Amino acid sequence: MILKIFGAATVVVCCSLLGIRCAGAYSRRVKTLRALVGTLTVARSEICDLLSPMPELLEMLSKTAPAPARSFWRDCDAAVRAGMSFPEAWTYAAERLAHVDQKSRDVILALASVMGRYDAEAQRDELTRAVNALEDALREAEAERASGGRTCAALGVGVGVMLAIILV
Amino acid sequence: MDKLNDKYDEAAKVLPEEIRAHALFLPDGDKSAAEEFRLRCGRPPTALIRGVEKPLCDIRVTQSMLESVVSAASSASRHSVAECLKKGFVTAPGGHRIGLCGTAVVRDGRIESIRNVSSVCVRIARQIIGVSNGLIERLSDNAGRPLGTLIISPPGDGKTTLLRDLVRAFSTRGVRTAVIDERGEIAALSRGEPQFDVGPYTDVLELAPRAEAVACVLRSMAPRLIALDEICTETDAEAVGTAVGSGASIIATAHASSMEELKHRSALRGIISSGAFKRCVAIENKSGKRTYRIGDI
Repeated sequence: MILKIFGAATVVVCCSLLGIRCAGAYSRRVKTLRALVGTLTVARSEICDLLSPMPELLEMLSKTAPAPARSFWRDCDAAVRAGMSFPEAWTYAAERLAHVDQKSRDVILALASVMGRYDAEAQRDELTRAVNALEDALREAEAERASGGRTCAALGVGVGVMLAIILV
Repeated sequence: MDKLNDKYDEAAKVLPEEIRAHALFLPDGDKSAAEEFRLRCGRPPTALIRGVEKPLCDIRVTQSMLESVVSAASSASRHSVAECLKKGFVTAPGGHRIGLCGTAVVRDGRIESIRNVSSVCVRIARQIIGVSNGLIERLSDNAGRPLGTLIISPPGDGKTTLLRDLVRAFSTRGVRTAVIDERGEIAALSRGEPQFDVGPYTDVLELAPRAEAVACVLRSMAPRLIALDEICTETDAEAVGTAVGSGASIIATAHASSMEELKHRSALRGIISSGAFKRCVAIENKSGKRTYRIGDI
């Protein structure tokens, strides 16, 4: 009997964790998109208002960006230091970026051919477009988190309990 | 020799990889005497050594190679060098000036940028400490204050090198000096720190238009000496006038082979007659050996 109770509890806990993890993916996507919007806005100001060169911008953001986006800037910085051209480094970092959907990734990838290549105003236009697109994606992700996140967590716990009842 | 070659190697960093390998393979003697790299689309790259352009290899320069030079020199940040591009150059890390030719992008009759780069000239910036030894006394008054000095020579004969060393020497003697480094060649600031020794009491304002920069340093830094490189326009003349009116001395350079030639240039005639400069240093370059001739203005 004790073994059955232990087994049932394990099933409930595992299913709940799966549900919570699934819900966490929604949250991570929101956090990553929010951090990307924030850091791209900073990048836009640095490039367009202060005319900061890319190596300085990458170094700064790889140290100061919020955690979900920091890996992106750090990867890009490391790739440039390793000798990659800027578009290659940007593409490399964007492809390694976790917790974003393909549409948002494409928005960031599209910047590879623009960043550092044109004058400040042309870059401002493209960065503004990218920030707007990512803000749209962020709103979608927040809505999905609100509905899908709770559903996943509840589903995980519910399925776990049901399985436990059936198995016991 | 090592330091001279270090600057050569540093300048070579902007070259495309396949050409850089050949450039770095030159004998040490040629490296230390090299003044420029020149890359022209469809032609082999050359190095200017002792006044003669020598091919570095048989590789034909392509346009993408030239674009890679611009990208390397600007640290992939065209927006940071947009103002320089309008004037046909970019300054690479280390103060190496890279002149550009190609198709000019013209708007309202003014060059906005250069696209389809067709040739580049990488001038290897070198500091020769002590090159101004023996000149300082003659360019100072009895109290040791610097006199207004104009350094003249044809392009590539070492005006900037002499100017940089005069700045270092006066600053080392305690003269508070402001360097208006419009092209980033004199001090070569990197994250605020000069890459060349410009002395302990020197303030540098780089990449700013000269007239505005002079007014700015006069307001904020109260210099006793202001250094300007390559004055040539009416606005440069205004900049000199502003500085002289404030009591600061000026050391400047200008392209000219003689004072007589300089006097024929309308933009500078006024400055010369204004009394802003008391001395003129003419650089004579004979097969790479420079001599300095000082005269009164």
